[in-house]
Amino acid sequence: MIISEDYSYTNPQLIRMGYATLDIHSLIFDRYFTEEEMQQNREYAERYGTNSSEWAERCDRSTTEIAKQIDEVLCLFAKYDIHQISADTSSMEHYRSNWDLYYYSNRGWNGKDMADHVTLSFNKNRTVEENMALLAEIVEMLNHSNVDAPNVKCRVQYQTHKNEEKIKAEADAICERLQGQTINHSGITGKIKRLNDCWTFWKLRAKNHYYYIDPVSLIFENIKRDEKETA
Amino acid sequence: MTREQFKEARSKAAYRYMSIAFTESKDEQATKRQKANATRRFNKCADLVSVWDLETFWTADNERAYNMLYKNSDDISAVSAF
Repeated sequence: MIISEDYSYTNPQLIRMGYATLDIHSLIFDRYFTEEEMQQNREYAERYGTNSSEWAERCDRSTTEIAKQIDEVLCLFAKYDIHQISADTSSMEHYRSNWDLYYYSNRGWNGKDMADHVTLSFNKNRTVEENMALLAEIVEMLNHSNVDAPNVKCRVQYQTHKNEEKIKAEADAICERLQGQTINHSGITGKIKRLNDCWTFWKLRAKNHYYYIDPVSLIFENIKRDEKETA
Repeated sequence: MTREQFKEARSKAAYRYMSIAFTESKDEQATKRQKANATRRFNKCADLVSVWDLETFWTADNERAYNMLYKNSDDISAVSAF
């Protein structure tokens, strides 16, 4: 099994600037083909066409094999309390408990009684440190397992855990500083206004229509503007 | 569609989604739970928008997904917020 780390949904700049910390979102188990296998699939598709019964049969065989491999991998997780992995752990009472991981799969959604795509999400009610410690334990376990799953890829999906208070305070300060000023936001000229609980952007001459701006992009756009002015 | 067209279509879709979530979160008829849910959706989408703006989003896997789903399509309306 291949294990890869995905930081694409994290915000490195936010982490670097102390507005957030690195957090774990989920483990995603999905199909994996080597370059050679992909080439074989391409050749098969070209030979029979993707609308043929031969191709459909090949896809079914592949799904069955991958689902079997994923099931074997999931057997390693028996010691963890996983919400929704079985009927016993699917109740609201169980959801309210301190489970380790949350199971989601494409079983049924793919028209089959097997899953070739599984997600195990971490418990948001736990601290970042607790979840990161659990992740380290799981990755260690996966790395040292003897499970033969050559067509499974486990993607470790990270996310950023924002320090909301700090971000909100900074966005408020920027909003106050730019109050009434005409600025350039994402290439558009207009003004920033605090509206109810949100930060909004009004294009020049706009009377009714406005865009919501999330505080993070407000902070970054402000940094860009400052850098431009300094240069 | 080009990557720029895709990014613009995705941002528009996200803002539409956020706008609906924001309206729902302020709906006086909505229950406390519905309001909390709408606020959660709004914040989640805001997080995604800020991450999409970064070049670090374009990993090999995400590039491949874009190539498979959108590169050879001109249907901008098919681009969803997620």
